[in-house]
Amino acid sequence: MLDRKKGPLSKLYPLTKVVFLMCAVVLSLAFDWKVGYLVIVPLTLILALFSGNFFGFLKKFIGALLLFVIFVFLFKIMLDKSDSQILFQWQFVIIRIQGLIDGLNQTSVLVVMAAVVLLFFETTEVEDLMISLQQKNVSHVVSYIILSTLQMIPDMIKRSKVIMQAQQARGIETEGNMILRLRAFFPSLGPLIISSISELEDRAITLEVRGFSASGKKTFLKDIRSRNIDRILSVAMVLITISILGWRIFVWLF
Amino acid sequence: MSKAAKYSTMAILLIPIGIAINYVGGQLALILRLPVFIDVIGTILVGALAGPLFGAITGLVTNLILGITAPTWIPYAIVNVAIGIVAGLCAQKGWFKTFKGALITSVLIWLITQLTANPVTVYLFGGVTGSGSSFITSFLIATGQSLWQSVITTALITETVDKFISVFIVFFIIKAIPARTLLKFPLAKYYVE
Repeated sequence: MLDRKKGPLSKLYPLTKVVFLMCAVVLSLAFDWKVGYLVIVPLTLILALFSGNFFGFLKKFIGALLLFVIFVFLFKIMLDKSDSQILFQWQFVIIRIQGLIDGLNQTSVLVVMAAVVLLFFETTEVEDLMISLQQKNVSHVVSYIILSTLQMIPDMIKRSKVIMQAQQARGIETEGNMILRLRAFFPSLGPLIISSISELEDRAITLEVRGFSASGKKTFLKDIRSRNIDRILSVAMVLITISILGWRIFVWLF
Repeated sequence: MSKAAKYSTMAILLIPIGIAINYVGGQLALILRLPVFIDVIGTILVGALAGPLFGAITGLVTNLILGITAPTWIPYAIVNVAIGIVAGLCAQKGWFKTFKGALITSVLIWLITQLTANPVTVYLFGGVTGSGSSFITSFLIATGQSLWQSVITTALITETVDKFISVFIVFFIIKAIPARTLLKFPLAKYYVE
């Protein structure tokens, strides 16, 4: 993963991007679909152009949302009982403008969230995020949990395949009707869980020997630093968000 | 090393395993083409062995990590956290030790899933769950039911069997874990005399 092409976004301090992520979600929550769809999503796409892998990002973005967005629009159009302008009519299918606006409003927060989260992880190594969190005094236990999970998942998938093949070799059917397949579930998952739990104590001893629970200050193998531009960007984004929200509340009250 | 420190290290180490079990269980259900998700076994197991706090963390981190590639999972973290808490509380009542207790636990976990998942589905997702079950929901809406009715009916169809199977898998797995391993977890006293 380290040889990924590095765009300017990848060089930013991870927490600067976290600030952007939060501002984007807060703003999309505070306004209707226009802010999400016409401002934040285009902005994210423009930023993605500088991420070094625009089409990879676009593919993930569409893949994560396509089915969801189609269904929301389907539901909203079916549930729409208003008498707004009819855009399209074919036999019993009637699409009204209100149904489409409802759909846009319902999806905007999630579309914004998906866009910024995917862009964030497209341009940030999880490891860097964890180091930057630890530099802000978040416990190293959090880093351990997240990073070790990311290592463990592929490892356990590999092991579950081995266990399943071993069980097939001794005659457990994994094909056939549903009862048969359901009965194959336990012998495939059971040994995986029990063996991982039995290994735990070795892991615990290994970690303790390396001072996992020690109270001293932890050092890092990899060093990342926030630069001046990170500080300027973070403060600017927070100020812009607060002033837009303030304006919004002002308009709403008076 | 004090006894408490050792317990907590074991409990912390259990969390990544629980998350991986959640993930692998869901994948395995897909591979075996089972009509259930079975994607909270790890959360329930961690809750049962290490208590509500660790169960909740397992649930939270599971959905955050799934969210790296599929951000629509993130809001459902609340469901997974609630399941971890309920599993932990039930374990502290010693309910994972008996068949009857496991049955009560399944009902409670099923209930908390319905109470937390349906509002997220309706308010945030407009009724869509992102899985194949949305087809059931859209069929129900097309027959003229309201959004809430459709979402709840869909959830009853798809979640009920799922949660009972998940709790009972955990129940049997705890029975299969050797006592000497069980003893190292915070809630060991509820399983080993």
